[in-house]
Amino acid sequence: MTQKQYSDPKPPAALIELQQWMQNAVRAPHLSPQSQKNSDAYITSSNRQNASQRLNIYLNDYWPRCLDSLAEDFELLKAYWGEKSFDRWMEAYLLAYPSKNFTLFYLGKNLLTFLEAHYSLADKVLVLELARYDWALCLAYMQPESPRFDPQVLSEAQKQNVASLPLQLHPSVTVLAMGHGIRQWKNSSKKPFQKKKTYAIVYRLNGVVYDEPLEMGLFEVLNLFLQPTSLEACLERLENKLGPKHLVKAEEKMERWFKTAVEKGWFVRPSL
Amino acid sequence: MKKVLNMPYLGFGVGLRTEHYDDFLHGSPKVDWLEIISENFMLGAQRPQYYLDAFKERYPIIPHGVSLSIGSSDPLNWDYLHTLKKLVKSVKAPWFSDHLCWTGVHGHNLHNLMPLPYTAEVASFIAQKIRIVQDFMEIPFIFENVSSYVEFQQSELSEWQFISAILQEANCGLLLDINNVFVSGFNHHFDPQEYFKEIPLEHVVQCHIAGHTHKGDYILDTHDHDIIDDVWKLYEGLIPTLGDVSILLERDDDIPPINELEEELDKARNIYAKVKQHDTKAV
Repeated sequence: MTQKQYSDPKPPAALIELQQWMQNAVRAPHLSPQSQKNSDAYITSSNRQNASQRLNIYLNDYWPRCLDSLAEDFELLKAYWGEKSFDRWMEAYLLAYPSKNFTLFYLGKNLLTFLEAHYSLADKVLVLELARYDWALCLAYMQPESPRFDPQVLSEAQKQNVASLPLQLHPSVTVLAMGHGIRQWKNSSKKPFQKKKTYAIVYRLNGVVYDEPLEMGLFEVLNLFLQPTSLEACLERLENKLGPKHLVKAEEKMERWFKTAVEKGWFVRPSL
Repeated sequence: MKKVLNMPYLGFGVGLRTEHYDDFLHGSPKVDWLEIISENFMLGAQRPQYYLDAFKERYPIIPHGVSLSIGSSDPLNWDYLHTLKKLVKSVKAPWFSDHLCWTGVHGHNLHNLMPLPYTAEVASFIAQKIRIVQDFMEIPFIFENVSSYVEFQQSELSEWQFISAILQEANCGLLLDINNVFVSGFNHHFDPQEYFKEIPLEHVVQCHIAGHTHKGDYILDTHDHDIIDDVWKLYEGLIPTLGDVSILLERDDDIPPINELEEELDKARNIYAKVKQHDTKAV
């Protein structure tokens, strides 16, 4: 059946102008002198409040709502920066990337891009790692469910050739390589950061979000499954990358890693 | 009263909030139906979906949105509507609702229920959009009157005239939020009784009752307190004129334990029963 075609009615010109003006006024972090001046042109005063005071009620709703939502989603970043610095950066972020989604859950989706482009202080690497970790936790909660790879439901022929089956990471999974002990910091009442190479995985299983440390080798392997690939192809690529000596070690561990990954639902079979 | 829309009477419900998921999953709170924030269940995230699947077998569920933005000068967002339609179908809702407001223009979302200028031209524009939405969704749409904090220079109608014009042209239902009428009445110096007298009540399918925060110069619709006596009085006065409408208690912040909401809902039930009984005797 073909989709019925609808044509939107033409909006009144005065409505377009009013909404454009009000959106700009509300999205300014503070009521600008220009907005205050223009308020009277659009908004009436009451006997208790003038036009700009009435408009200000909407600013006082927009900013705390957005900042609270970002604070919920970027807990580590806020804990590291402190509230004042966090709010200042988030204000700048919201001005650059205002929400274009029907839900606040995606408000922070461009934060990494923003920080990469605009944050230039000495701790930039750490800040990006914290933001990436926070966002991985958000994604693990939000990403839609899809059927996990289950070797038990394979046909006999497929069971004989598991290594050749294409697999991919579940949408809720993010693997992270970091230059700081972010996970340890998160779990240890925010002691000073340890500068060391660490790896972690963030994922969801049965509705619960987990973050766990990873061995470097397993990180390398899982990283290959960001795109559909098979265990066979994965080993071939690892051989090229690590060289035969390290590959032997990786192969030894592969069976254990694969079992863990399947048990924890990290793989899906890519849709054809 | 002959209703414009022949909708089922659902009784007394509450807005479903995460704080009460386990109460509904493991217990049987005295609640007849649930209203969900549509957008929270439109992401396909597993946890909300898990609970929704469990609840939809046990309660009538009505999706209540905050981002349809029916009053925006932007075109309708078809991605949003397609996702919403899937949700509405999945819970077998007899109707769905959103607010008479706009939430952004040029694709942006202010995540707030922004007020509209009350003109005949804007009313007609919105009514045409509602007709399209209802036709696409294939079930009735009802809109909620919002609390507002500004009035616009270009407004030429009262809020009730504006709402009446939309209801008549769009032939849709009204979700009458009694608290919002009280809040806007204080903020804009009108008498809620006059509002109720002028609104075509035969369009009312559902009512919201809720608490608010008095800020001195204005009232903010915060849904974080118990319902105040003045709003209960408005509710009591309205019931005899409304016929059977589904009642929904809203709470969005400082959310109390479910038993406290049950008590407040019981109060709404008792007032309803008392007024109805009195009404029957009078006949």
